[in-house]
Amino acid sequence: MSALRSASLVRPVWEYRGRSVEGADEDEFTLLVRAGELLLESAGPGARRPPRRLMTVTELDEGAHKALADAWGLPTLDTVTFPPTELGAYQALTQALDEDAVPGEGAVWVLAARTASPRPGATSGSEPPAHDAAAVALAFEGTSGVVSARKTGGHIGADGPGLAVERAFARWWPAPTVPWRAVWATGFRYPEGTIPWERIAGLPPGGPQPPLPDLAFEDDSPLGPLVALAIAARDTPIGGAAPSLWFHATSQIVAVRELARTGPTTVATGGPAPAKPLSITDETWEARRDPPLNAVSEGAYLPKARYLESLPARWRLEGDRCGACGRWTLPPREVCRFCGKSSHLTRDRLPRSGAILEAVTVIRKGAQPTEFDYHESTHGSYAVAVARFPPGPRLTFQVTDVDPTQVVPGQVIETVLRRLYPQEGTWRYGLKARVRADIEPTGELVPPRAEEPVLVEDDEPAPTHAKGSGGHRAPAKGGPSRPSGSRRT
Amino acid sequence: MVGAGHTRFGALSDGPKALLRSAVQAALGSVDKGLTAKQIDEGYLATLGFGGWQIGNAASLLAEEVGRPGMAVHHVENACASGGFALRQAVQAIRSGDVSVALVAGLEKMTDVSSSRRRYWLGVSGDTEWERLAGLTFPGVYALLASRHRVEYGTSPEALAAVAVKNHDNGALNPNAHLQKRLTMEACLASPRVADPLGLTDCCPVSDGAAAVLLASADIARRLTDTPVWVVGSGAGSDFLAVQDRESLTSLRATKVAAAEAFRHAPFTRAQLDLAEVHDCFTIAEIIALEDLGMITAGRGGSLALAGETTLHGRMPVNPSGGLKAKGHPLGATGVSQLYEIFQQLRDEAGERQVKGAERALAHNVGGSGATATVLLASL
Repeated sequence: MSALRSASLVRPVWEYRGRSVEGADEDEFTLLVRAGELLLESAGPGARRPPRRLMTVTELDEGAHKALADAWGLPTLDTVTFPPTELGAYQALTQALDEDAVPGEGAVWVLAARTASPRPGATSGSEPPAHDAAAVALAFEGTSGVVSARKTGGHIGADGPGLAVERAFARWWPAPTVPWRAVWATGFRYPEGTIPWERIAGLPPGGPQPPLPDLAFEDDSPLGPLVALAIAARDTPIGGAAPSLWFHATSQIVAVRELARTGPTTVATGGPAPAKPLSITDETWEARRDPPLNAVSEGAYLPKARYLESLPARWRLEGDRCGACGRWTLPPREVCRFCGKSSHLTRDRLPRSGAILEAVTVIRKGAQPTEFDYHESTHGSYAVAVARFPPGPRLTFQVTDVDPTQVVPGQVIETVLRRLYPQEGTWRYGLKARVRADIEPTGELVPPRAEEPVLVEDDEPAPTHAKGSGGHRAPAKGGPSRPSGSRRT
Repeated sequence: MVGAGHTRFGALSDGPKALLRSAVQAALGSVDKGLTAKQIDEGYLATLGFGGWQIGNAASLLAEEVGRPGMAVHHVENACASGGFALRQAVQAIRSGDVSVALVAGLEKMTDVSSSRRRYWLGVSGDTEWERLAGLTFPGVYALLASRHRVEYGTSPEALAAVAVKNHDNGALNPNAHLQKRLTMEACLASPRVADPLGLTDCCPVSDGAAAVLLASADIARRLTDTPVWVVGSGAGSDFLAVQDRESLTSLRATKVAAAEAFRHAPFTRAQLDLAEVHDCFTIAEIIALEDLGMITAGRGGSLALAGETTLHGRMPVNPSGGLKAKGHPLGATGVSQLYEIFQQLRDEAGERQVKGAERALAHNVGGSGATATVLLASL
C-alpha cells in the first residue's frame, strides 16, 4: 500500500463557452510542467526532491519527457508511460496505490494533462470544446496520506456497464448511506443523464445527492480518475467520513475505491487566479485551429542549437552570480560580463516568484515581431515587461493570463513555462510572467512634475581653445600632431 | 565638412543605387570651389542593408555611384548609428593623416519590402534572444523606456506629444522631410496606440533616403570653401545590447559615454550650443537624449519639451530638421543626414527652418535602443 502524499491540480485561467480551456501559449507539456512545479513546491522550500519514478498518462514522446525533467531542473527520470485513456489512468493509479511503499525511497509521480483546443484540421474551431483543460500531478510516497482502504470492481459483462457499476458499488457499499463525495470521473453515462444513486446505494428518491465533480471529463480521458483522486484528497477532512472515489475504466473495467486519510496530504492548485475569468472569443478560438507550426523566421532567427544551449537560463533562470561585483550573468558564461572577472562565479537560480515589474508596454496589432503573429491572432494585444528579480538582475517577459491593459509597473510576478512561438516544425518554449494578484503592487508610480525645466548652464570645463582658432581641426595630411579631442585616456 | 548632399526622405520610387547616386553627386556639387570624384581618398557607406538587397560589400557601390572606381571603401554598420560611426571613422582617418578627403554616405531603402519582412528588419538590431523573442520590436523597447521614465520622473503622454508636435512643426519647413505636416497635441494623444504608452505619432516613419557629406583635412578644406564647417569633437560609446542588462532604463550609457568624450576637449560647452540634432526615433528618445547629453537635468526632458524651449525659436532648438520623427529615419542615412542639417544651419543655408546665428551644433546618433551611440560636435 502506498499513500497519496501530495497532489496538484492546474486549471488554465481561460474560459470558452463555459469550459476551462488552455491559453494559446499552453499545451499538455506546459500544463504538466506547471503541475509538476507545484508538486515540487508543495513539499516546502528547499525540498525539491526528484521522484523515484515518473508515470505519465499522456501522448508525450520521449523527448518531451526529457524536456519535463529539464523544465523542473531534475536529472533524467525513470519514466513509465501509459496510454492517454481512462484505462491507462486506471493502470497507473492501481500501480501507484497498490505498490509496496518503502519510506525514504522517493515518491512515485502520476501525471496527466488534457487540452481543450480544437485539434488541427477540425472542420470548425468555433465548436465548443468537448471537455475542460486541466493537468494533474499526484505524488505517492510512504503510507501517510490518503490511502485506498477498500476496493472492488469487476469486468463489464454482456449486460453493460450500468449493471457492472451497480454490482460493484453494492458490494462495496452495503449501507444506504450517502457517500461523502463521489466523483463522477468516467465517460460512461447512464441513460437518465444523472447518477441513479437511489438504485445504486439504496437511497430514497429525491434524497440528498453527493456533490458533483468540479471538473467533468465525459469522454475517454485519463484525467477523470486522477482529478477525482486529487479532489478527494483536497476535500477529505482528517478524521471525517471517508470519501469514495469511483470510476469506470473504458469499456472493460469498473473500479470503486474507498479512500481513507492516514496523514496530511497537501494539494496545490494552479496559482492565483485573475480577478475575473478571461474569456476567449469565437474569433480567437477559431484562429487556434492551425498554428503555423512550420513557420520559418523571416527575421531575427535563433538557431535551434542556441535555443537549446540557453535552456537552463530560459527555463530555469540559471545564471552565474559574480562574487566580485555581485551581478548576475544569464545565461551563465565563463566571465562576468559586468566586471570581467572569472574567478568568483557561482551557478545559481533566480527565484520563480517575486520579481517586480519595472517597465511595461502593451504591444498592439502590427507592432509584434512576425514570430508572434499567431499569438496576436489568438490572444490579441499582449503585454511585455521588464522585471527585476530580488537578487538584482532584470529579465524581459511577455505577461500572460491577463488583460494586458491591467499590467502596470510595481506588480509582482511569478514565471511560468509557456509556448513562445512556432519555428521550423516545433514550438519554442520559455518563461513568461504571471501577475501575482494576491500580492499588492509596490506602487512606485510618481505623479507628473510641474516644475520648470532647467537648462544646464556651464557645467563643463571652460573651452581650452578660443572659438575661431580652429579647435581640434584636422591637421594637415601626414601631420605629426595627434589631437586628443577624440582620444580616450 | 566641405560639402553635403541629401535626397528627399520618404516613400520614394527610386531604388537604393539611385538614391545613393543622387546624394553623393549632390554633395560633390555642393563644394563651393569644386571637387572632383578623383580627389576623394576613401569612402564610408553607412547602411544596415535593410531588406537584404545588398548586405555584403555594399560600400563598393559608393565608389561606383560617385564615379571613383578603385577607391578604398568601408561599410559601417552599427544599426541606426551607422551614419554617426561612419562619420567618426572618417574624422579619425583624416586626423590620423592617412586620408585627406573622405566621402561619407548613408543610405537605406525601406519601403520596398513586404510588411512582415519590414517588421523583421526593424527588429534585427535589438537583442534577438531575450528581447525580440519575448515579443518586442523597437516601438516596444522604447515604450518600456517611456514606461520607466514615467515611473521615475512622471513623464506624461503630453510631454511625449510635445516632442512630436515640435518636430512636425520643424519638418513642415524642411523640403526634404518625409512628413511635412503639422500635428496638434490632440491628434497625437488620440493617435492609435502602437506600444503603450507610444502611439503612432510617437514613432518615426519608415523612410527611404540617402545623405552624403564630404570631409577634408584642414588645409584642403580651406582651399575648397571659404565657409567650411569644422568637426571639433567626436565621441562614441556602447552599452549592453539588451535593455534589461543596462544600469538604467531611463538613460542610455552609450550616449553619456559618447557625449563625455566629445565634450572633453571641445572648444565650447553644452550651454553654448546653438542647436542639436538628436536621435528621436521615438518621442521618448529625444527626451532621454537631452538628459543623457547633459543638456538638462535627468528627468526634466519632458518638461523642457512642454515648455517650448526646444522649438526653433526656443532657448535650445532641438531637431530643427524635423528630426527622425518628421524628417524620416532611413536607418543608415540618419547620422549623415544630421551632419547635412548642421552643415546647412551653420552656413546659414537652412531656409525657413534656419536657427538664427547658429555657430555651434551637436549631432547625436543612436544604434537600436542604445547599444551604440555617437556624438559629433561642429562649429563654424
